Parts: sequence; C-alpha cells; structure tokens
Amino acid sequence: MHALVIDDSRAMRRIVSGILTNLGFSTVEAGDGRAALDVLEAIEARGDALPELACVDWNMPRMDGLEFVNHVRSRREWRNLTMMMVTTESEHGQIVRALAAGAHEYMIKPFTPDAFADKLALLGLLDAGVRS
Amino acid sequence: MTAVHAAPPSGVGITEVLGIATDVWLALIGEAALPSALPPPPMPDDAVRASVTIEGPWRGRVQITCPPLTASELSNAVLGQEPGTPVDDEDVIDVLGELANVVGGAVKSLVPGSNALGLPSVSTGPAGAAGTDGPLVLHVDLSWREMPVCFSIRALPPHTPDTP
Repeated sequence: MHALVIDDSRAMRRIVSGILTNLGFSTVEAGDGRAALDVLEAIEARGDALPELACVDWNMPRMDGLEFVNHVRSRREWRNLTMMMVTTESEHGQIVRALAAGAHEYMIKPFTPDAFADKLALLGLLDAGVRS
Repeated sequence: MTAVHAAPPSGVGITEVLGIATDVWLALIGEAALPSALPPPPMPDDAVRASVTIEGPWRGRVQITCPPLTASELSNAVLGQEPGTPVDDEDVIDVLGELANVVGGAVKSLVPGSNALGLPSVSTGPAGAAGTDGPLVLHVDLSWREMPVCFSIRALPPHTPDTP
C-alpha cells in the first residue's frame, strides 16, 4: 500500500510516515495541499499507481487540508484515494465540514500509533496480521 | 483602549493544561512532562517561545517556552534521535511549532464557542519579543528530563475595526 502524508511540519510528517511504514505502507510526503496535488499529478504523469491513502493536516500555508480534499474530490481519476484528516481541529462542526467535503476519516492530534492503526483498520486499509 | 479580560477562558485551568501536556508529551515524545517540584529558574534571554493564537469569542495565545537546550532535546526526542544529537534551527522551529500547534489545538477544543487556530510561530529573544504580548492568564511550570518547560496562556484584545 502507498500513502501520501501531507503536513507542514516535517516532524509530524516523519511521525506519521514512521507509523505507516511500521504498518507496511510506503510513503511520500508533501508540505502543503498545493505540493500534495503536484505529487499526485507527477505520479499520474509517470503512469505509476496512485496512493491508496492520504493523511491530510488541516492548517497549512498556501493550501490547507480542506481545500486539498475539495480538489481531490473534483477529480474523477482520484476518486479511489482515501483521505484521512490528521489535525488538531477537534470541534464537531469542523469534523462535519471535513467529512462533508469528502474526507473519509478523522484523526485528532495528539494520537498514539495504536489509535492511528485503529483508524486505518476502520477504513479497511490494514491487512490482518500487520499490527504487532 | 480595548479591555482585555485577564482570566483564562472558562473550562481551561491548570488541571486541564496539565492533562493536555501529559497527552501531548506521551503521544509525541513517549515520556511524561511533570509539574515542577521546585520553582524553576527564570527563563534565559535566549529562551525559545513557540505559540499559536486562538481566534473567536475569546482571543488568546497559547505558548510553550523553554531554554535552547531543552528545545534541542525536545527536537531530538520528537525526531527519534539520540539525546545530544546536534539539531539545526529549522528542526527546532518545526518541532516546537508543532508542539505549540497540538497543545493549542487541545486548548482550543476546551474554549466555548467556535474558534480558529492560527499557524504556529516560534521565536527566540528576551521578554517583550513576539509572543509575550497580552496579560498572562495561566502559567504552568513543567519539568521534562529535569529540564524546565513553561506552558502559558495570554489574553489578547477582542478584534475591533481598529485591530485588524
């Protein structure tokens, strides 16, 4: 499985990528929503397989996570990309906004690796036996 | 002049901030930050200050302050590096900014009403530099690996047409 990790914090990208790698994913990273769209377009241009999962921070410069989700949902060829918001935004209204925009799941920072894996299992993105 | 209420938002007290600090430290570092048993020494002039603003019915700034050595070791811990590993300023700014972002987000979740979190900012310098404006409404001294870390919340004046 491939995952795209989008966060303006290198430290948080490293943490999320580390968890995903331990769960059997290969990861690519982007520092904001605009850069993430560039990554997806570059993968598409090469004819490579698109990631199955995008972990998306909300508050980022240039293009925030919600705008990224909206862009992805406007592209039919990216409809199979599962998007999980990974963010400090924890208000009910914000969660509803993200899910309404097309995000599939919501992970509130701070989180533990186990909680992260639980979300991926809910999304059906975790092979049985991967978690140790 | 606009009055600033020198009190933390309802629902946010020392107990809540200690709980947030524990959750954030355990999740990002894997270790607890504990309340200081003794009054810590004053922060040095070159202390690192990482903060985020909360904008809404209540306006304020959530800030983490620590000496440069503590900031470096926090960066090593979050990045999974051995203690004492040299870290560049970019990593310190990134890690402290993300810690402030996560702590600020957790504080925001306790503040009544609909609020927005600003992007984190990180600075070093003497008191009076960016991030020390507004009356102090809550202050918690913590100790991590016997190094001081201060959590504080400052109130900011409500937005008016004169305060864009």
